[in-house]
Amino acid sequence: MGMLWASLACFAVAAAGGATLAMMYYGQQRRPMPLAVAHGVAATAGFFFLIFGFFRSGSSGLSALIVALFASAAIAGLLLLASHLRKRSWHPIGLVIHGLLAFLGLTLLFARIATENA
Amino acid sequence: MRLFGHPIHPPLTHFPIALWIASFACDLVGAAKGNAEWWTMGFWSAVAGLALALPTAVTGFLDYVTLPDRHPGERTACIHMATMLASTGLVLVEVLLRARPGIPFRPILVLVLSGAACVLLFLGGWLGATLVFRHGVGVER
Repeated sequence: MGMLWASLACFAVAAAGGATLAMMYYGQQRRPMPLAVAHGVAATAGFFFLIFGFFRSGSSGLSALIVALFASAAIAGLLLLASHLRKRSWHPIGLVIHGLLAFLGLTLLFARIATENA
Repeated sequence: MRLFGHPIHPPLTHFPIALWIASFACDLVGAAKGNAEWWTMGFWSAVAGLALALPTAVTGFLDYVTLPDRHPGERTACIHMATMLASTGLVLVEVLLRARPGIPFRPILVLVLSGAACVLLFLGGWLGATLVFRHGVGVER
């Protein structure tokens, strides 16, 4: 369970960074690269903790769904990073999909940890 | 990205592709025969493919972001990347569902995920070949 808590903490930090980046994007402000890197590093760490946590605590259908959601969010995030590095403008839909998938994954992860502890 | 002047990504791609196709084939035989050893082989092939997918994805990503501006293969490369990453995600979920070697708890779901990953691999591999043979990505002229 410790791994899953660590994963939740990393994802929470990543979510805070991601929300800040999204607000800057919609406010047409320049997004600082260190914040984007911190967001990516926190999310990657969270994903690794999640995988190891589920392997250690035993996986279920819900665990697979959570991993699928975060994996899809990661793919969308990588595509956003690639377009940024190629100096292409982001499609707002891509940003919304990335955020929604990550938010859903985070909510389900929180629910899974809460029900295990109850 | 090159090593001793040779592109690294194309040779690396063979390993996850071969291992995941082998994994699906082993799972199919395991399901047909009800034999845990085939399922175990399928499990470890999928895990080995995942381990090798990491350097493959990193080198591919670096190749994509360093493509020249307005390259004709840019859109194909983006779809190739998305397809291959989606395939990797499916295998990751499949491995997590299996959790351990042997006959999985949900064999049909595992087979569906593994099969879907192979379909995406085929499409992604096709697009990768298009990048090399049509758009000349990584080719010295």
